Amino acid sequence: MKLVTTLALAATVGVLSTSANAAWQASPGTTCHAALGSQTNQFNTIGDTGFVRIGANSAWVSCPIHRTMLVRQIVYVNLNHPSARETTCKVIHSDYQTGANREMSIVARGTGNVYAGFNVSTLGAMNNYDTYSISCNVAQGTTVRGFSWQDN
Amino acid sequence: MRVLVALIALLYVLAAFYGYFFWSERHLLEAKNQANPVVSAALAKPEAERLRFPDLKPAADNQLLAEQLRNLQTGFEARLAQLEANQAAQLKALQLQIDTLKQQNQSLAQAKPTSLSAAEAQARPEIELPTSSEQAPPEQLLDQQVQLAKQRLKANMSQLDSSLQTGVPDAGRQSIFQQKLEHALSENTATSHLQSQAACNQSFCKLEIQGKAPEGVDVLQTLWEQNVFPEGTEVMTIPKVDGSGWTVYVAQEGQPLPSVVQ
Repeated sequence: MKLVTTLALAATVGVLSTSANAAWQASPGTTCHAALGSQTNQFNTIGDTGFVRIGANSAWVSCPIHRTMLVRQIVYVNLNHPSARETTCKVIHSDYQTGANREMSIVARGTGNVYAGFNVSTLGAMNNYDTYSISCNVAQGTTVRGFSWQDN
Repeated sequence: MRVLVALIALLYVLAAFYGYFFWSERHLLEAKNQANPVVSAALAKPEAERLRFPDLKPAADNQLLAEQLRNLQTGFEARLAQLEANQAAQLKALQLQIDTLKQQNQSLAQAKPTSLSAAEAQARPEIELPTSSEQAPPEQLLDQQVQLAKQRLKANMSQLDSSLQTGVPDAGRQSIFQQKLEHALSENTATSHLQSQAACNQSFCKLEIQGKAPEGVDVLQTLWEQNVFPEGTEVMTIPKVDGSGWTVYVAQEGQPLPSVVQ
C-alpha cells in the first residue's frame, strides 16, 4: 500500500510540475520600438502594455525577444485595430553562427483585439546566442499590445 | 498559484493516507504481538547485520575483520588523495588558460586600432588560441562551431543552387519576383543603384541583390516594406561573405524551404 501511495504521489507531482512549466512567455508592447530612427517620435506608449502609432501612414515596429529566451513552435502578436484593417507582421530568427536570417510574415485582420500567429517550427532550431524578433507594419491608431511565445 | 494550492492540498491528503495506513499496520502488528508473545519475541530478535561490501567474505574472527577494515580505509585514503591531486592539477591548468587569455586580450587591445571596418575584420587572420591543455577554451570551441555552421550553410546553399539549375524553372514566379525586386529597390533613392536578379524553380526562388547600401539603410527591410514577399512565405536572407550584397531564398507560399540549413 505504501508503494502505491508513493507512486501516486510521484505521478501527481510529475504531472503538476509539467503543467506548471506550460512554457508560455509574454512581453508587453512597451518593449517594442520604431524600426526607423526618424519615426521614433511618432509612437506613444500606453500605460504599461501598449505601443501605439500616432503618426500618419504606417511604419514598422520591432519587438525583440531577449536573447536568453528560447522560442519554439508558436509566436503570437497581439494588436488593437481602431477600425477594420490589416497589419503585416513578420517574425525573424537570426542565426548567430552564420548570420543568416529566417523570416516569415503573417497578416492580422479585423477590428479591435486581433492576433497574428506564427508557426515558427520551420524557421529552424534556436541555438545558443540566436535571436528572435517580431516586426509589424502598423498604421495610425494601431496599438501593439504585446507578444507571446512558447519556450518549450 | 492554483497549481501550487492544488499541490499543497494533494500533499496533505496523501500525507493523511500515508499516516492512516502506517497507523493501521502498526496497530495490527501490536495486536498480533499481544496475542502471540512467541511471535513477538521472534520479531524482536535482532538479525545479523549484513556486510555492505560484496568483496568481503564473512570473517571468522575479529582480527581478520579488523585487518580487512584497515585495508579498506587505506585504499579509500589513497583514492581520496589521488582525486585531490587531480583536482589541483585541473585548477592549475584552468588558471594557466585564464592567464594566457588575459595576456592575449591585453596584447590585442594594444595592437587593435580604434575601429576596424568589416572588410578589415574579415581579412584579419584567425587568432590561434593555445592548445597546450587537453580541453580547448570556450572561445575556440565557439569559433569552431561557427566555422562548422558556416560550412553547413555553404553546403546547403550549394545544394539549393544545383537544384535550381537542374529543376524545372518557374518562369511566371520568376518574372513576378524580378519585377517586384526592381520596383522595390527603385522606390528608394538609397537602394536604386542596387542590381537584382531572380531565379525560380517549382519549389523556391533565389534572389540575388548586388551592391552596397549607404549606412543605416536596411535593404532587406525595404523589400518587406514594399511587399516583395507574399504572406506566409518563408524567407531566408544571407549576407554575402565579402559584403557585396545579399542572397535571398524564398519558399513557395505556405511551404518550408527544401532541405535547409541549421
